[in-house]
Amino acid sequence: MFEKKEDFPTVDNKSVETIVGETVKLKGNLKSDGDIVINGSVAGDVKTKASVQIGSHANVVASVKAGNVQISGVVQGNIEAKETLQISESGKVYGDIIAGVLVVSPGALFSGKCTMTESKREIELEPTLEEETPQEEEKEEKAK
Amino acid sequence: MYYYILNPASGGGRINKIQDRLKARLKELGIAGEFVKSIGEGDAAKLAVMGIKKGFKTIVAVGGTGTINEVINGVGNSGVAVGIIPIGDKNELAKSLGITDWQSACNILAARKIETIDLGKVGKSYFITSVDIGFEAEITEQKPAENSFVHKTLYYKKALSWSSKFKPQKATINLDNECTANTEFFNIKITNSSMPGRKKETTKGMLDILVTGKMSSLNSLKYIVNPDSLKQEKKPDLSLFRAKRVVINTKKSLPVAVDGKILYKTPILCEISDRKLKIIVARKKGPMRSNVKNKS
Repeated sequence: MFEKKEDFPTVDNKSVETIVGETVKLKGNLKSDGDIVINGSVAGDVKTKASVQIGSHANVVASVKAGNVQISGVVQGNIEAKETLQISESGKVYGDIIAGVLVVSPGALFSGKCTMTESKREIELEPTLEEETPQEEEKEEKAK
Repeated sequence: MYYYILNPASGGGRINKIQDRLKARLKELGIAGEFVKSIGEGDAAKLAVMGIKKGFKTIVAVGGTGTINEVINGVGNSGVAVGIIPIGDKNELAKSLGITDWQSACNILAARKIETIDLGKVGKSYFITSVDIGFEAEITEQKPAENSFVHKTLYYKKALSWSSKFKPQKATINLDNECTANTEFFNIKITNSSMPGRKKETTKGMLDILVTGKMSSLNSLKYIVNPDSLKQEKKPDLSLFRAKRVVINTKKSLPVAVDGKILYKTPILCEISDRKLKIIVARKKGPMRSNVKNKS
């Protein structure tokens, strides 16, 4: 559960498409095709198929839906991370979360419901001997 | 045949010194044509219209960004190709297309690699590279045409003085009617082509909006000289957005520079237009972005 930050998908500078600076107060629906970095205030909805990074000075009152989410600031709202949701030591989440992989660092705060999405696995069954029924046993004896 | 529109005032009048050499070189390359001179503001656009009426298929702007912008607005949706011969050193548009000086521009014209790009629109004007509001708009027309040490020193001295007086402004930025950002800013740059430091190509048909937050006078001067020179921790607070349509309101009405020339004041509506421009670019791709379609 307490893994190193570098082991998980991070926001790539090259794919960052949206940055909300520290002095920005944004209201409304923030949609992007690339990574989103939030260091300021956002109220509304945040959506991307890529990653969302919420900085330590950020204050987000919004629902967040993304592939990967990293939280170091405050989020009041529901979060859905298709892959990984990571709450760092300074992160505070007040809302329900849905994630494939959840990482919570010591010192983080989370208050809400948590649902883990589990991908289906193919389970290999070892071959077993079939038990013979009494009728089948009788037939075999007669055959002998 | 090529139609060359010269701005005699470009580059501090430098065109007058190189005109004969320029014409000789163009003739050497087999792309000589008709030369006309603009006589004032707005004249280059009218000359472009005249060139199209005369049947020319390539209109070449010989001058700075202001001349190029007028020619772009003049050619409209005619479908003619536009070429550039930059005169003076402040031609950021030409540099973004891989055209560094008049000599290389002649070779590029002769090679005739044409690309089609979406034009941005602000007010009634079309633009090819960027719209600036804030500090860069205030100083854009003051940038030295000459690249000499003396001119640059005088310019930076002025810029330091401006930067100490320039107060961060407040803006409301509406993006595609989806969200609104309120912020203080030092500069807002809306670009339709490559931005320094960005490696990912812009999604076709989109504008990039870069908002630079407030910073100290010394850092603002460093930023003007070379944005990369600021250490990471001293870099201004940056915001970056992407949209097809952006409306910018400021508390105080501020000048708006379009492709390096102040044309409007805030509030403004800026969007990607349905107008496309065929432009002759360098064969070796510069930082042109993905709203450029390659055509051989």
